[in-house]
Amino acid sequence: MELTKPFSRNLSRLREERGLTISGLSERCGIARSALVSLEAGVGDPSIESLWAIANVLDAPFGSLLDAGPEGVRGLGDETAHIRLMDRKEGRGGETIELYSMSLAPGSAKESLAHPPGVKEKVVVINGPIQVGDKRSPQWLRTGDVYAFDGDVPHVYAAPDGCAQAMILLHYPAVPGPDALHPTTLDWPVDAVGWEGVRSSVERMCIDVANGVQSRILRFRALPETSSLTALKELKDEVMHSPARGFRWPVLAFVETDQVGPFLAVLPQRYPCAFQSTCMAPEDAPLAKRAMELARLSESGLSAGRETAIADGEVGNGWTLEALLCECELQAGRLRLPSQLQGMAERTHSEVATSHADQAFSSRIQVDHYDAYELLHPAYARQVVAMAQDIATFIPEALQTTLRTIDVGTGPGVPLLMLRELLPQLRPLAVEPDPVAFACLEINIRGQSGIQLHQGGFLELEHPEGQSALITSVGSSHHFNTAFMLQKAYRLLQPGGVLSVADEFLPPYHDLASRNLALVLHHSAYILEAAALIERGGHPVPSDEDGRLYRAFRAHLVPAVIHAQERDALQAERLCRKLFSIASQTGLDKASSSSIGAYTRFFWLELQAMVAGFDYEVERKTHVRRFLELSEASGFELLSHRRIFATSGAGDRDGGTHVITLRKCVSWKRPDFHALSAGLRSSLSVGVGYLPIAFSFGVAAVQAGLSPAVAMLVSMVVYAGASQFLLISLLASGAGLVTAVPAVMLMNVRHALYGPALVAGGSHRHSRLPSPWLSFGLTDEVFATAMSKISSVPPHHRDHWLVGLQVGAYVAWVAGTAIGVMFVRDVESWPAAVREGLGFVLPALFFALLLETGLRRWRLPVTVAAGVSALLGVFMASHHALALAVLAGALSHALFSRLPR
Amino acid sequence: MSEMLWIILICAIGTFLLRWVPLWHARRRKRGGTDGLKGQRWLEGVGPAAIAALFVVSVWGLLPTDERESRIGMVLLALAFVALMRWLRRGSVALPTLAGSVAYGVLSHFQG
Repeated sequence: MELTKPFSRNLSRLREERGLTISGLSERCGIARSALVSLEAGVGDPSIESLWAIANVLDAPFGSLLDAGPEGVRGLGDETAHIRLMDRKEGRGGETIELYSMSLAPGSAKESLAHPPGVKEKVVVINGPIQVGDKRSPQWLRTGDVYAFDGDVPHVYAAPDGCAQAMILLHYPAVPGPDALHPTTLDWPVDAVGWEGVRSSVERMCIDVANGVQSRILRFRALPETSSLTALKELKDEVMHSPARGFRWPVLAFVETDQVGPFLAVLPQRYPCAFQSTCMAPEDAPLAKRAMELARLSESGLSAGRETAIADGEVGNGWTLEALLCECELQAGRLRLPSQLQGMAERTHSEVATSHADQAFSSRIQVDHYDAYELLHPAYARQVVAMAQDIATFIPEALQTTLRTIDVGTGPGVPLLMLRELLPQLRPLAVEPDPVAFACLEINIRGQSGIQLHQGGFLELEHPEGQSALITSVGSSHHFNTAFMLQKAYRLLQPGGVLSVADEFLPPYHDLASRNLALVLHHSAYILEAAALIERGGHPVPSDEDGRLYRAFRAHLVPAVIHAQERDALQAERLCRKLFSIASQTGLDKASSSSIGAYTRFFWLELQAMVAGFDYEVERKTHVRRFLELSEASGFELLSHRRIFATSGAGDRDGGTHVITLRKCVSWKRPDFHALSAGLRSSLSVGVGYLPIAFSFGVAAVQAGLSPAVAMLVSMVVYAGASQFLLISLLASGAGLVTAVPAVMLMNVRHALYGPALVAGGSHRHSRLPSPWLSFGLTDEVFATAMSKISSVPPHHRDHWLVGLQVGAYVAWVAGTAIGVMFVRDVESWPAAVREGLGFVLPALFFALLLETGLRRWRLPVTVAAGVSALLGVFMASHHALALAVLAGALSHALFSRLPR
Repeated sequence: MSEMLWIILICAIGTFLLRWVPLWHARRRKRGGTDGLKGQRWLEGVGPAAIAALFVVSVWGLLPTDERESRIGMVLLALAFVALMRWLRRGSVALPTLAGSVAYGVLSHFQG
């Protein structure tokens, strides 16, 4: 096609007005940078479609590229078609109308991609017949006919029977749609320059999605007779491995072909980062330690050094480690199936009863497949590791002593077996109503002791109420009426008992259409992540039935997800149901012959769950916000919540696999004696330190001329160590209110830091006691002891533990004062060594606490505070030096310490 | 009520408020989820810094200028004993504390 100078000038001007570089324009319109440089130089041979793509990206009417002023030539074309701009008018409201004449050579056809949303076309046929309109259903027009259609869908102009001519009226709306700048259809590339253009578009898509865009898809038109996907796959692999090997894109990329044609789609890979803490007794349990390590690795797909970490360490043959290792390997692009899967998949369930009851789990989900292939479900083992971690945190005794628990909706039981590997002391009662699932469970737990089975519904379970310390539920809460399940769990738990739920939750929804969208996004995410990681590893897809179905999953679900993100519920659901229909006619009953076949069976399970969800049968998933609301209304308080696998949204409470640990609320009137006595025991060292000092205070007060009653009153109500000594000397010297009160307050001002520091240290997140109870006795020594020990106290015991600590210290202080007041005359006769020894109690206590806190971890604030207090102690009163040193130490930590691992 | 009792009462209330109000406020912020990361990190450092400063100030009190040189060795030995006891009885604070003060008393007896 011959280019005119005005065209080149217009292109350059419009591009600069849009603030786009040539590379930017290339990335957006999918035309190679070198081709655009040539166009701007006035050379090149672009198609009309390419020029339309440029006009769309520039958000400019097509005619504005051709416009050469009133006298100029305003046409372009090639041997098959010619188009000429006749007139162009801009309305006051910003809309534009262009008039073109078009002539088509005999037998030619011009496909046009979708114009920006809202563009309308009207055709007046001068010489027909001509075929015009929506590509899927073009209309035959004869000479003199007039036809109007929407130009924002792919459309066609064709003259199959002979030369044709028409006038075309294009109407552009005032405000273009937001998608105008990101075309999703390009010409199928025919040469190296074309591929370069596609490549720059693909790179742009990857960057967009890596940075937070939810999806991008690229389709192609003008396909050759035999379009090969291989070239497109090679291009995608090249982009995914650039700019240099060793970098990983945080995206999932797919090349596939569906009914519309080939496409390249990019979806985000999500990283929930749920395993940042390692508080589960790792020294005592090497298996738990390795499980935590693998769980962390499987969610940190971008980190360097993963390979060595995956390879290191014993694996054994346990359920948990096998499943975790397979997930880690898949992240690295290697296909490995859990060793248990083979045996399970080949198992014949001749002894297993079948169920046709409408509400039974097995009526909608193929349970014998579920039993085996759920092991391949992303985050399947990770959720159990998180649950075990929560149990170890909130019921630490579960690590040491036997604990009777109830497992709700155990299913075939693999998660329960994993949980028992991590916490062998659990003695669960496994409750499962479905006969098929129960039969699988009986087979799976053969040889295991300590698991009791109960076939029946949880809601109907007859079990002593108010006695269970722990109820667990992995992947089953959504098969119940959620509100009823929570109420039943509340009844069975003892006060303070824990309910830990690991399950899939949908992204928030508010009506049936948005629930179906949520179902598509949610279930597809598990399938597509596995499929993209398999594709990333370059594993060949077998050409058998399994392989064909595997490809059908990708071909249907990727467009379904993109429809769901565009809020097109109908189209998304239609694609998923169609896939369901294809899969249900395929022979998936037999065991898989390949790894990809095994994954296809897992995909099939996930699809069954999705479609059952559409129909609201068996699957009754809710979203996290609603679940937490219901649990609070049922009398639970939240102890911990983590999203283990993210299926949609960036928020912690969006869709995915979540682990939620709740505690049955206890009225604060019922004191936690266990925690109180633990706090009292911890106060021993503070009490021993306080006795001699309080004793000295009693002596000093009486010697200063105060009555024993006043000395006791000061210790009982002021209760503030060093400032009490200051107070009695002021009182003895006859100081008034105006002198004494500010002096004492100034000396105690450092105590204001202690409360917030304790709260930040995690003591009161799950508070049950009013704050005054926790603050009256917050002295230097109590605070120091609390900070060094509180992390070893389970969070829900911390309030009462702190009260116990404070009571012990307070009693010692008041008792010490009383002894001092009573034995004031005997002190001088005590041996010097005893007095010296008593004087060393506090330095020894602080030193022991310092070692307890961990010098290595806190070396910066400790060094700064120690240095500043030593330095300032030379110049000023010790309490001032103390307050400034604490401030300096804390500040240095906030500014310069590295974040702890 | 005499002025002395008023002074004691006001000092008691003031000290309590110094401990209670910041804790109450921090708890509210934490429940409301308005805690910033930087604020969190700064408060994390308060505990270890306070323990270190209290330790230095309490040791400083044992070392009056005229006896500093003679006592410093005793203090170091007694602290080493605390560390040793803590290493032997991991997790215990009371025992090392008591052992350290006994050691210091014994050392001071022999020092004369």
